[in-house]
Amino acid sequence: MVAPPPVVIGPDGIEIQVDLRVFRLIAVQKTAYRLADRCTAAFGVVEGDVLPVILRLAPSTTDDLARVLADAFLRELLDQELRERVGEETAPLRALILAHAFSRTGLIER
Amino acid sequence: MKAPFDPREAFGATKVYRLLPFRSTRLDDSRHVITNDAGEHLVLDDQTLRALVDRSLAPGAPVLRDLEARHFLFHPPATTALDLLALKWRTRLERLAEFTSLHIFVLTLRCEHNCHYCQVSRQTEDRAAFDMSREDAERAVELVFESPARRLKIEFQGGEPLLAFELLRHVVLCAEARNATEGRDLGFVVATNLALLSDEMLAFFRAHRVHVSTSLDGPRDLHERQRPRRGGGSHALVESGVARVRAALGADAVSALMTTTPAALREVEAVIDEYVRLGFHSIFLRPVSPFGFAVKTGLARRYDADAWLAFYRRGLDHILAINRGGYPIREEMTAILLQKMRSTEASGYVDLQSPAGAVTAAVVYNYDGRVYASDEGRMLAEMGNHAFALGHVRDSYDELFGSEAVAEWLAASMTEGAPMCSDCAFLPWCGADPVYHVATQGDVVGHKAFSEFCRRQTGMLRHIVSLLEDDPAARDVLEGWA
Repeated sequence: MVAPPPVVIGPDGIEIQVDLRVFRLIAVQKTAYRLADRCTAAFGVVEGDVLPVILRLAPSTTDDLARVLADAFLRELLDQELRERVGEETAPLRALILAHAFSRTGLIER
Repeated sequence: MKAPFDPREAFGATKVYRLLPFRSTRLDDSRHVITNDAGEHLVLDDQTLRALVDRSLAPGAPVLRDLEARHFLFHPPATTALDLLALKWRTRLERLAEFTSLHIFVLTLRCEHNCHYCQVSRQTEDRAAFDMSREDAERAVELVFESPARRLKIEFQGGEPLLAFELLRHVVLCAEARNATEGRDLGFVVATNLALLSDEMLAFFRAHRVHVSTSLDGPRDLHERQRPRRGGGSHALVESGVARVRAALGADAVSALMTTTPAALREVEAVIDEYVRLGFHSIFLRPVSPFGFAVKTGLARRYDADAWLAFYRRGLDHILAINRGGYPIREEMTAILLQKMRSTEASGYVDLQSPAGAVTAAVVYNYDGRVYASDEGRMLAEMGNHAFALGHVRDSYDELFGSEAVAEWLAASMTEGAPMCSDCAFLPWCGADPVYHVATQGDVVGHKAFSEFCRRQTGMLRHIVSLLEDDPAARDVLEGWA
């Protein structure tokens, strides 16, 4: 069982320490992109294997709302990581199926 | 010396499966929708999805059979699943080889209605300024037949196209004459408010099998508030017009569309009941486009995707209840999405395609001879943005349809490469709307986290999948629409 990344809700926003041995950078980036309508993510410099992420919030955001957003970020991060695992594992098969699907269409000769 | 046969175990299914490519998206707090590139889907809870990827599902678990049957996994060395997926994938994309099948002729911008949400119409008698010339119409017919599509549909729009009935007749006769040698599957549709419908027109529509599409916004009060005309009586004209079309052309020869305004949001049940009262078996719940007068009047901003989704869910509930009561009526957007979910056949619905249906499935010949990638592209041009203008009917087919600019935004419109779309489970059932995203975000792809289009489409799909999973009575009705 993987422990969730440490989260601190502070004056600058929500600070999350993401362990890049557990989560791919692309999964963190996609999570930030997906939540862009609710917060702005700023990525710090990686130290060791830890990527500091700060989710900047609107000034009016309450602590309760910030916790909801932190939970949403962590849940989305898990989902994105799983997507990346599936995508990485099945990418060669997807290319194979696509090549097979269009192998007799004459597209290559054009 | 090599043995004549591989050992027995080479022919048996291994216990260890291999995953096939799939995408996943949360359905709710505890469940995920997974889809493959052929559009097949399953709903899995959190634990099952992770166990599937971790290979920790209990041997013999029933879900394994479902996952294999719908091509989410396979057992090597068998490769039938790969062949089937390739075949289904190719079938879904076959429409691209057909290219443009829907050709919209905007015969005139003139209209005797003054609808609040209308994008383009003009209150004028000036035919020369706002009607398509015969020369341009004839050239547009030539362009229609340069399309490789076996099925060609010519749709007449306006303004009010019946104000230019002689031109409509001319286009139909020109197209039929050309088709005598072409032998395509040629059809016609006229989008009309029916106010000017004459017996002569009806006779022509009957003789040339022209389908009629009209606008019905709901009960009399609502319809006439939204679709005023000098002298009033818009609703009565629709009601009598529908009856006359059915009597002359057949019960299925007329369909109707509604536009969802803030007033309609509050009255969805009454709108649907009016469709039932007038004998329609189909209704299309659709939002206002963020174009034209709808933007100028602020109408496009008066409700957001969440408000529209609440309206849609209430409306669909009401429609399902009417079906259970014995009157068959379907909601068209839901039916289109169900067809995409249940069939590997290519969908012809222009607004949900990847690459975008603009140009690849539909094109618009405007009253002034200009050619646009879609109806929405022409409306955007009315607002001064010509991003989707292809040229003029005088240009060659290759100049209009084969330009670098068209290729560029079509490539950009492919959801398979768009951020957020590319790993969304709803991708096989959704599509790109580049005109919408240019209109609202100034970008062909758009940031989907801020996209009302994305919020609406994924919201509808979540609702439909939830109904199929959790509501057997709703599922019984919905299965009949696919």
